[in-house]
Amino acid sequence: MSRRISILSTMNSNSGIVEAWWGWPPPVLDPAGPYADSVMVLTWALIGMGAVVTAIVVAALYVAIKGPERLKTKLGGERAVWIGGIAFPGIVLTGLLVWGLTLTASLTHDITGNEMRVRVTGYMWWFDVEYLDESGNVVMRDANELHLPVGKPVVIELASADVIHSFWVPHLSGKKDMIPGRTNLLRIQADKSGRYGGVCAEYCGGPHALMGFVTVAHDARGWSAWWQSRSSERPEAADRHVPGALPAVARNVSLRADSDDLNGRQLFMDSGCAACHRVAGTLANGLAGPDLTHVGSRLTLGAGILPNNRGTMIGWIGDSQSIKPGNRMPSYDMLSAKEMEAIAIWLEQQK
Amino acid sequence: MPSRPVEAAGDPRHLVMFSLTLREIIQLARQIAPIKSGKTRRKIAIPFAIKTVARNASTTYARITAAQGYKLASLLEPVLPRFNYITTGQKIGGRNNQIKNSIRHIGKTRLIGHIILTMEQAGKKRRGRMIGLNMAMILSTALFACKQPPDSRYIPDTIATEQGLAMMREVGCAACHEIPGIAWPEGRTGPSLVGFDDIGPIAGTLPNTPENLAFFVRNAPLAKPGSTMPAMPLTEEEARDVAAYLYIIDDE
Repeated sequence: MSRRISILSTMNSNSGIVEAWWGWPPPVLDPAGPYADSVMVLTWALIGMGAVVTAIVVAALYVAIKGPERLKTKLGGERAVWIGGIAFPGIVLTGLLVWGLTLTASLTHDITGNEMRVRVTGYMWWFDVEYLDESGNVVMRDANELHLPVGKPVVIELASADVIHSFWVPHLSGKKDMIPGRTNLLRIQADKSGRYGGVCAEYCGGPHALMGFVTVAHDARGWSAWWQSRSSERPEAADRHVPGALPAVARNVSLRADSDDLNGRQLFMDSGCAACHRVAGTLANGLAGPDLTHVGSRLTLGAGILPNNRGTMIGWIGDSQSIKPGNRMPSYDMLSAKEMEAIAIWLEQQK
Repeated sequence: MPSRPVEAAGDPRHLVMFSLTLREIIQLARQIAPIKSGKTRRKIAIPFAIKTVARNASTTYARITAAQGYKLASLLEPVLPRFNYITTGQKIGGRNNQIKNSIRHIGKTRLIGHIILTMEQAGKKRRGRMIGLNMAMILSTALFACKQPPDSRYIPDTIATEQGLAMMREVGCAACHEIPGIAWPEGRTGPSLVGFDDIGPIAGTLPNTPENLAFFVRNAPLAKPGSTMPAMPLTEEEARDVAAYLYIIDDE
């Protein structure tokens, strides 16, 4: 813990980024599911082949310098160039390519209908997460956190809202780019329950290094409990924002009139938060920032970087620019302590 | 329900006295003996190994204010020459040769404290050695009166400070505070904690004691109503560890 290197050493243990990069064995060599398994096999095969080729080159170098004259002549001959320089790498690399693509083909299989479907959209610099039903309708929305049941393949539909990002949970699968205007498919599956960190693996500008998320694999019981808690309380209205349209949620204003949270909710609406953040069941329907409908139950804040408690929430609201420089949320330092606290308390209640 | 922070009324425990060992008294006397008596208001610095001057106190805690020095001096007034200050410090530059030489004299240890005496009307011409011994005897009881109260002269142990730092990472204190030892983030919603060992009252309000600091980091709204800092998810023990780490933050 105290020996972690560089910036990782200063991040808290709730961070998805630390979980994705750090650990022994390294997360990329510590698969927790079948898709990551095949990636690991490929990794070891490539490392092995690399070692063999290096050994051959070193041996040839030795012969070229100190070897007997007869071998030297052979090594310098045209035949050696044809065999060692063209035929051998050609065959080996083609073989590895075919084998590698076959081995990892399962990662990008088309949707067959047996899988769980989740659409993850990369934004600068966070992940939008939408749980889909079989026909591709959004059932529930979340951000920077991906929950899945153990033992079930999950197809992630990867999209991007701005630049190229890359989705990577080293414990669970390979990495795949999120390209604007395209939908890439990537399968992940966890066979052990637990938490697995994820990161954006393609430089996407500014605070790219602080763009992460947490994947949580639940066992059967945990999964149904989690799903229940998410879907029962606030059924998802079909309220995808159509520009220019009235917010659909207005028909569905289930104001929870706790006098306690009224203040925080009012401040949230009045301070402009609602323009970028959506909270289902309220008038807040902004889509430029992470959906905050369930922010109170998230493990992290700021896209997998901070633990989630009232203190970090206030710190993020008050000066997110000092925490994640360049992120698109302004620092709300014009709010008073009481106002920040009220907003944080209200957000805590959005489970 | 955690107890309320302690409000220190005045500082009655400041003038706690305890005595030196005989060896230390003799050493002190030898330092004082060469000082000529009878001169008025001449400031003389007597260097001393800091261990002796302040026992296990850090330099910060051994420092006393002019007012306290005066108080101390007035206790001694009827007896012998008065002294105004007792100070300690690690860095004593070339501007005071007397002190510099004495550092060499002390030799092995770089850590020295020094007592600055102002000789005032020592009066009777006694032999220097006797004056030295007399004064050393007085100092041996008075000198150590300048300790801070025991519970704020606080040297946290390493395990506590390490756990404190780990806890600060765990709960994300750095989201609002710049904290030495945590490279990222360096939040600015709250004050920077650089040089926290030299801070005055906690949050500008509470007496700076370990209990109060531990209380504050755990439940700031109760310790200081109106504070932006919320209650943090720490147990009482974890809060004590965090306070321990805060006390060893030293920017010097």
